[in-house]
Order: sequence, then C-alpha cells, then structure tokens
Amino acid sequence: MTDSNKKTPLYDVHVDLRAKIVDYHDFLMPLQYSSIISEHKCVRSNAGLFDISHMGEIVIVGKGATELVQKIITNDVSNLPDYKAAYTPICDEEGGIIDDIVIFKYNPDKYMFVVNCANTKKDNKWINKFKTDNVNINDLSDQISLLAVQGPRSEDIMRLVCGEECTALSRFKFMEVTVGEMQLTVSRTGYTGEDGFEIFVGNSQCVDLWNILLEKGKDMNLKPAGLGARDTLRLEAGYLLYGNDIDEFVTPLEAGIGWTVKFNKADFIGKDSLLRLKKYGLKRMFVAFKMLDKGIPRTDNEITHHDNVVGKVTSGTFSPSLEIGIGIGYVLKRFAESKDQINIKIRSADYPAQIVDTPFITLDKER
Amino acid sequence: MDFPEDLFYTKTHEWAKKEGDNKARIGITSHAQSELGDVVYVELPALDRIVKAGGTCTVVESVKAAYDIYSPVSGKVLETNNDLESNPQLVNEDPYGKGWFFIIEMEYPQELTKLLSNEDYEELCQAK
Repeated sequence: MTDSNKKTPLYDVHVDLRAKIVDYHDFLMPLQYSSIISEHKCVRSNAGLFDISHMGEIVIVGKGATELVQKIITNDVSNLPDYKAAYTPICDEEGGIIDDIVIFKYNPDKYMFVVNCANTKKDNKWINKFKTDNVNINDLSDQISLLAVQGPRSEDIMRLVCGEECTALSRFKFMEVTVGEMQLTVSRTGYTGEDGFEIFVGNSQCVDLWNILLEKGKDMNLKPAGLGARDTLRLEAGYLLYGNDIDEFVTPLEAGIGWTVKFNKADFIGKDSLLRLKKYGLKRMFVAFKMLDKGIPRTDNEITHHDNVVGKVTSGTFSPSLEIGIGIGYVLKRFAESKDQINIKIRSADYPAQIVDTPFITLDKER
Repeated sequence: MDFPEDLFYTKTHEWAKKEGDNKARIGITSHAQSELGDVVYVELPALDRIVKAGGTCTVVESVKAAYDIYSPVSGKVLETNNDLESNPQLVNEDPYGKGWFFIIEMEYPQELTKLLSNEDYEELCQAK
C-alpha cells in the first residue's frame, strides 16, 4: 500500500468495521468484514451491502451521443428504452475486449458508461479518440460513489429506503429518486446472480446512504459484504471478470458473450475482425467446469485432456454454495463442445472436472 | 490473538508441540488462520512420509488462494488429522486444538530449540 492508493468515501467506515483491506487496482477496498463464506451466504439467503465506489462512471451527453455510443460498443442501444441499462463489451479494431461495461441510457442524448476501475482512464482516452463536436464526455468517477444491495431481501430493503416506486423497476431498468437530501440513481442491476439494486450517490452523501441502508436493512439481515464475496458470487453466477477472464487478447465471441455483439447494426469498432473470426471459426472457447473431487482450481492452472494441455483456467474458487471447486477458462474449441471430462492441473497433479453450463447455481429469480 | 506458551513457532506461521520424547504435533497459528480467512481444504501429508525442517509438506486452501505449509522439524509423519477432511474450518475455529495437522516422529528433537518462542513469534506478527 502506498500514498498513491485511492480510497472511497467509506474507507474509514470499513476500517471501523474491522474489514481486511486490500489494494485492488490502486483502491484500498474491503476484502472481507467477517468471512468470505458467511458474507457470500448472507447475500444468497438475505442481502449484502457492497461498497463498489471504485467503479468508474463516464457520461456522454449531446446530440451525437447515440451515434458515438453505437460506434464504441458492440451491443445495440438504438432500440433500448430510455432509463434502461445493458451489458456490453467495448472492443478494439481487432475485436479484443478493451473493457466490459454496463451502459445506462437516460435518453438518446445522454448515456453513462459504468466501467471497471482499472480501465477508467484507458476507456476515457479511447472514447475521446472518437469524440465528435456534438458531444461532451465527462469522467465523473471521482465524484460518484456506488453501493450495491444484493440478495433476495433487497427489494424489501429498497422499499424502506428509497420508496415503493424503486421496487417496480424491472431487471436493468433504472430511475432517479430523491431521498431526503440525497439525489440518487437506482438501477436493478448487480454482479452476484441475485436480485438486487445498485445506487449511485454523490461522494459527500455516500456514508449517510450506507448507514441508512444498514440501519433500515437490519431486520432483513442486511450485512456488509466485501470484494472476496463479490468474486465468489459472480463466479457462481458465471459472470466474467475483466483482467482475469477477458482482456484485449480475447474477443467477446471466444468469451461466451457473443450475444452482446450485434452484427446487424451499422458499423462499430471491431466489427470486421469479429465477422472474420465468426466466419473462419474460433480456435478456443470459453468453458465453465465443476470439480468432481477435492482440489480448487486457480487462475493459470492448466486444463488437460489425456495428458495434453488443452487450455487454461482464468478464474477459479471454492464455491460456498456448492461446496466444491468451480472455475472458468478457455480450451481448444472442440473440447468445449464435446463436454467431455477434463482435468485441471493443480500442484502438478490432475484433478477431474466436468464441463457445465453457467450459471453454476440455480437462481430462483431471474428478472 | 493467542500465542500459547507451550508451543514452538516458525517464521512461516506453523506451530509445533512436543509430545513425549520424540514426537511433535504440528499446526498453523491463530495469526495464520486469520490471515488466510475461511479454510476450505487441507491437503494432508501421506503417513510415513519423511519431511525436512523448513520443507513444504502440505497445502492449505482458503477461498482466495492456496498456501504451502512448512514442517517446523524433520522426521516421519505418524498420524494426520482426518477430521480436517470433512471439517477444514476446524483450522479457523481451533487452530491450536482440533485444527492440528499431523504428528511427526522427530529425527532430531533438538531442532525444536531452533524455533521461535511465543514471545518472539508474537513480536514477529506485530512487526508486520
């Protein structure tokens, strides 16, 4: 940890809660408050509160906003309703993933990119390369904080804190709401596989909002949850993590998120390369697997098949819900399709694993 | 944090407890389990395996990562804690008791004297 580390407005609150603090892409963030497994289970059965203020927010406003956004992202927001968000990659000319983001469409003249903290500067620079005179691009990451309330009880908590109207939001819809002095943007989004909400709030009101949520959520067993649980929850849900599972050397087609690439829309960055890749076929493919026995897969473990190395693990963990090792990675395409048994090389021994579909767990409520 | 007086400690956060003339019970310290977080898997050494002081002898997995465990003393593995197979969280709950790892028949019992006392080990943990 160095002086250059960034802190969210909640840093002192995390320290007071005796969180284990880690350096996450230069941000000092809570890894866990009590234990990863108990926080994970609290989100799956009740609700968890996450400080994810490290995420970046880049706002694009102006008459040319839709045109610029459509060029930058691979997904298509032209028919997305106002006040709805969508998941999308941003690709380079070769189809490599610059970032995976959630784009919020306020109206055709205003969008907000919610980006990975490690990529905020890179994304901002990239978007500005294509800036036209009729848009303004503002990186508001240092002014906006973000909290996530995730879990089956989150709707009950939001009803108490933000009012009935928030509970009417369907998956990926968002709204602006005033609570007391606080101007909030509330979306029904998340990274846990559970029902949940994310709340954008100005830095100066972030601590107040955190305290109100915890106070009003007490009866619903709302507990703070750290980045450790966030990682095990997202992996059980089968969500990718930028920097681990995807980067500029992987395309959305290989990463199993081909549904976010809309070839039918007008030109976008990376389209030609991705079309070519689609036409000539992929070499490697995203794969999810569940261990058949003990042994926990970790990033960079080799994936083998009859003693041949056929791929590599990009994320692996012990699944608190399934109580067994799970992971995702890339293998030569024919192994992904065969659904054969594979092996994961852990400390130079082969451990058997079964290729499975994601999510790893059954989610009761997909909105 | 707990640093029992009757144990010998390593810089790599294992403890050894002398039992009888030439046996030692081995585990990891309370400080170590707290740093690891939830222990979800302990790979125990095979019985009769010969281990060297300071050599890796087993692996502990937490949710986040795998960690090597180094034997505090040299000798032969006599017994392992089979309860850890179904209840690895014993390492978190009771690191000096039910969360022990294995028992060694020591080749050189005097190796214990080269290890850290509870006071020295406590100092090491606080200096980090």
